[in-house]
Amino acid sequence: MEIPYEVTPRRDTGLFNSKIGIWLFLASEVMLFGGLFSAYVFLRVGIHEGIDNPWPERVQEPLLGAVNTVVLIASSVFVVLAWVGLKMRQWRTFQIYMSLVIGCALTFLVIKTREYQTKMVEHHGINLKDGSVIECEILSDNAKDPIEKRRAGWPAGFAGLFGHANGDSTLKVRFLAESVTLSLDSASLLFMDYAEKGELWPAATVGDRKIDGKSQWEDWFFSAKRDILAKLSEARSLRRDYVQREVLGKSRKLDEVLLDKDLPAVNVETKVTIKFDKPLKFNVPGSSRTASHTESSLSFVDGTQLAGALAEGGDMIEVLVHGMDLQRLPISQQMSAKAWSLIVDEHQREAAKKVYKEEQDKVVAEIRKHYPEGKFPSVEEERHQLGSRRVNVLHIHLHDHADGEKHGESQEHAEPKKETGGEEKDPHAVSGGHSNNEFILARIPRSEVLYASNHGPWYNTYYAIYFTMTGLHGLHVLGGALVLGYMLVFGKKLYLKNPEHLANRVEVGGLFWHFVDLVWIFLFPIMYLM
Amino acid sequence: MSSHASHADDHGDHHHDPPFWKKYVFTTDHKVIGIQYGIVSLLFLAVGFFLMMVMRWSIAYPDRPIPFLSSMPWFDSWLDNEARVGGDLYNMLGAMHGTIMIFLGVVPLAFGAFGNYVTPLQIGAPDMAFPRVNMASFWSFFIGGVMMLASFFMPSGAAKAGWTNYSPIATITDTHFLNLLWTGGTQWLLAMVFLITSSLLGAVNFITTIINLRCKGMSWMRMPFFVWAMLVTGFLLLLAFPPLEVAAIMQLLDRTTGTSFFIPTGLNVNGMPMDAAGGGSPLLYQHLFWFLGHPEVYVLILPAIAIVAEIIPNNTRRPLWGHHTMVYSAMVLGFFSFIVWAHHMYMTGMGAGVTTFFQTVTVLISVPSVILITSLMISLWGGSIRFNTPMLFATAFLPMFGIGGLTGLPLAFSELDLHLHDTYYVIGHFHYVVAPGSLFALFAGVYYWYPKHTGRYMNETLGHLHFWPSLICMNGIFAPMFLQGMAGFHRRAVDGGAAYEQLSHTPALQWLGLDMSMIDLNIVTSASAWIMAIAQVPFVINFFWSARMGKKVTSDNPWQATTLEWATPTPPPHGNFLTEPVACRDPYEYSVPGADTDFTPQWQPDPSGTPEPEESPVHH
Amino acid sequence: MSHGHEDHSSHIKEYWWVFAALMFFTGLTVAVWGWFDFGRPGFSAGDCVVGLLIACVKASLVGLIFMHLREERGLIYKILVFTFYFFAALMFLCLFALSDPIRPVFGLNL
Ligand code: HEM
Ligand SMILES: [Cu+2]
Repeated sequence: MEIPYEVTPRRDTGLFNSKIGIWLFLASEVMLFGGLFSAYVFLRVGIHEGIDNPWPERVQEPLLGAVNTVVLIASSVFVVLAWVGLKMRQWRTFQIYMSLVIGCALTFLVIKTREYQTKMVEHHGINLKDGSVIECEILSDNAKDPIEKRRAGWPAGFAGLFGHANGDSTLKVRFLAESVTLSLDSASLLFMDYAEKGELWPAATVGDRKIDGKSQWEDWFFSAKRDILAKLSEARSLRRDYVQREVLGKSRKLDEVLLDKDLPAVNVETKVTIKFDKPLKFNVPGSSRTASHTESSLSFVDGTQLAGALAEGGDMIEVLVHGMDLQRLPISQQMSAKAWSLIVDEHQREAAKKVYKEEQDKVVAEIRKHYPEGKFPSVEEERHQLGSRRVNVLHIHLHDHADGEKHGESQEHAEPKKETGGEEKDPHAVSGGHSNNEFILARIPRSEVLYASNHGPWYNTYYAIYFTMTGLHGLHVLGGALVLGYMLVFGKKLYLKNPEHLANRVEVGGLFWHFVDLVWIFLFPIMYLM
Repeated sequence: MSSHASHADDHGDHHHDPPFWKKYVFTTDHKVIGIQYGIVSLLFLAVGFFLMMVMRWSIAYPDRPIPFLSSMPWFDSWLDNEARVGGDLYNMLGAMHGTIMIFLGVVPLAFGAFGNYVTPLQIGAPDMAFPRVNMASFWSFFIGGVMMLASFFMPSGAAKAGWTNYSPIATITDTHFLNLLWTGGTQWLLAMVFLITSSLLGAVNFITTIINLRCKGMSWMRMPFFVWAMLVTGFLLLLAFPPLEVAAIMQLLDRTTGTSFFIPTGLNVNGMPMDAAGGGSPLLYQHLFWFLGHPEVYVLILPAIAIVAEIIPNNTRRPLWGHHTMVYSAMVLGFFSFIVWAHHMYMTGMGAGVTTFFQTVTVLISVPSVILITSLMISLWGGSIRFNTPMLFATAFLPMFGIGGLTGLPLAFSELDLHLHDTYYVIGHFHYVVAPGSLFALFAGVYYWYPKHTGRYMNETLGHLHFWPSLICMNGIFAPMFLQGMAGFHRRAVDGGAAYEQLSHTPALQWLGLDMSMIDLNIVTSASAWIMAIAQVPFVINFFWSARMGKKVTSDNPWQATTLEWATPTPPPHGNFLTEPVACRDPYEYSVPGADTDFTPQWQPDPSGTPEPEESPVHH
Repeated sequence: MSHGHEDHSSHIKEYWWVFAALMFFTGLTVAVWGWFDFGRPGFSAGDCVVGLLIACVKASLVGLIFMHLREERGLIYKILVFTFYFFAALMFLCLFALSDPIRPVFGLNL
């Protein structure tokens, strides 16, 4: 059976089927991105000044965005030219332009990935409980040398999507466990996912049974679980039978029945403790969405409890400071923010404060212009009136520049210095006046931390919407490239059979491609420039 | 069709039968896909119904152990130690009842099943414009459905945050599992992405088919109302679903990766500050949800009205009254349905300006609804009505939908809604529209088009046995809800509102001469619900029995109808029409003065020689 | 809708002109961003207007010429007009609702 108007347009509508189809699809895509655009506006306009995280403005490197814009626009031209090639029955022209399109798509994706990586791996923010924010890079805490400590890798935040960790895991808790207590009716062995690599399934003792290695652990666990569940269900069905007999059979009130002496109780001990033969190291995301801890215990959200001790220095976070973001504090309190006192080196601290103070004075002068009578606004007024017109993120000191020389082995280390300069571009960024190969190290007690993460989507709503929109857009680029690439590689057969059909397909694919370009045309100003 | 001739050579292979899996499983034939949709969605309706019956036990008898189910494997582990339905289970049942009924039951049955089967036939097309997309749409729906069902068997159980899945509650339920992927809440979101994708693919396909595959002579206004309804419904799905899709994605990120789209600053969970950046907005979720949510209710009702609009003229043997008016009303309805959504959000603290706007448009939108139902009622006027089973259901639809629609009006006014919001009154309102409303219309559709596919009528006696008890039970279930709702009963209480016990012997009940308290009405409702289950048995028997033993039809047009689907052989073969169909006249030409029979089918040539448009005219 | 060959080659030139225009506007956006700083410090209505206006011009170029909307059939326009209407409804009604809340009498002045 043949579907009419697959290739030739219908007379009265003037369109072939897939042309209508793609425009309808694009209409729904407009609504898809429309939903996101309105979420962007809603989140941005809806920020409660002084309560929510401020909307970070212009934290992206506009050059990269502009390059990507050019790349996409170019690919848009190429795709039309590829189509024209087909229309004029020039297979070669089609091939050339279509290859250029695919090339552009890949370039775009590579640049995008690089941008993501910078944010996720090199930039962190630690919100302290007093409202100050330290912009920094968190060091993975094992290594001795600060440079070795870098690049802990892509954080496991996204692992949540694949069912692993939960919440952001920028901060880790290191814990030495001597034993673990599980509730067999509900728990699983998933806590083992957080044991340090290479130490999985160690020798351990449960009651008087020895288990060692994955298969023994699992054998024990599943049989013990089965036993407990059987016991539980037996106890419950005794109780249920009794209640049913009394309430449904004899029409007694439940309240009364519950007071009966011979009402069977359900008390099966479901907790078991497993002792590790030697202490086992755990490396747990420091988010209360995964676990909470004290000095001597760590409990996962599913109720599994480790007993032991925090590993050495476990509650201190070491960071390389990039900047201070104190805009949520009233100006009068900014210089005494908690964040300053956490900088380890006193000289560095004082120097940084000095720089900050200079910058702050400028802002204060600006504010005073609005208050000619000389009365400085109250804290409340200040919040209300000035909004974000004040010291934003202040970059006290950027990365060391000698870095690359000292550690010639890593090209990756050479990258960040270039990146940081642009990535967190800010007109107020100043140099702290230190020599270039010095770090500002800060040590932050975990108890001071309100919220900490890298600049991934979880950092604040701006990054959330940025990653979601550009990510979804990136997926469209990838999808479009796959479809167009398919036509490039496998299109010849159809071309020889019915070139017009292939031209139609390329036109339809091209429409999609232009749409993807169109979305980016709007994403560029709102994400990078505004 | 026109392009047939040129390609006649390369489809010589379509005569020998394709293998079973290609013919019935991975098929691209719109009729088989329609039937796949139909069977799967009827099964889902049964599942949703079962969940509801369990809830009704807990509501009616919160203090009694549940009979039968306490020894049912898997289910028993969810009951509490006294074999009662606990809060968690109740929430799970409630959320999944709503989700299954709406997204996996009514919409796929109305749009997926009837839309797929009937639309191409009625416009004289050989199939959908994109048969393979059609197949993808079904399988995407199927996967979504399986995920929803599978989530019941995960350690966390299925989703528990209502069919609306509001944030932040939906973001934090069941987050005490280390593996969040396999929890009900996450699966709900992922499944929704599949279901939405399915709807989008379907919508693109339907609209394209209707625009481009109409047969010769099928001009826009010669399309039956059913096709128009599908067109409007297609647009609703196409444009309203994507914002929900992004909302689902954002909530998924909130839930599994710790973003804060919908998490406000300073949210405490279990007395602990939640580990999230905050700054998000729960209201944003509600906006995105109801932007879909309201158009969605018209997705539930438009196909139902359309089915009724096919059956009524057929059985009154008179033209559909106001066919064109109905078409325009449906368009206006679709148009307005996108700008009324915040009437679901009066309680969120919107200011007077916004409220006034949404109040006004909500009242306005009832105008086209009333036009639709009034046209249908006038269509009954003066006809000598054949009360066969499809017609019984179609007739009952009218007052039932009427009650549902009229009780919506008070909700449209914010002052009243502040009192009625989230009470059983709202439940009563929309169930009158979707249960005795949409569902009855869908039953009518099954009885009506059954002979087209099977060549046999469904049994009339069993049909009556299905209809009358269902009608009575439906009202037994939903009418008391209005009273309870006005008395303030909250819609989500596991104990059916024990807190409202003191509302005994309210004047409303006394006035009705009933010596009972409001809370006793729970028992009336629940009992009706369980009896209603029994009332579906005749339907199930009828459905299978008639396929083999039902009365045989004697022609391809057993109901003596006028629209093109009856011009096909029974059942229609792959490709549908044996000869190229031509629409020669309007769709509802019953009892035309001077005609030989009391129906003049659309395909019957017009002797008066009105010039036929060669292809339908261009519209602007 | 069927184009002759010469027809296409005349289009090719046009496509390159559009490309040039798009490049120009991209440059302009960045330049404006640099010169006027989009109203920095702080986000203001001016940012919106300038940034989005240029983006709209670029978008119309892509739509009209690359996507052939200029010579497209009325039906497509109809679909797009509907979509635009619903998009606007989503965007502006949400904003409307956001901008008009009932303010709490006690507690935080949100
Ligand atoms: C004819 C005019 C109608 C009006 C004026 C109307 C009005 C309303 C209003 C104001 C609400 C919100 C009540 C609240 O939550 O406080 C509501 C809820 C609802 N309506 Fe309607 N409605 C109408 C027709 C319909 C139709 C035709 C359907 C379905 C096919 C429908 C389905 C629903 C549903 C499902 C809800 C509840 C959603 C929920 O909260 O779970 N309504 N209606
Ligand atoms: Cu509504």
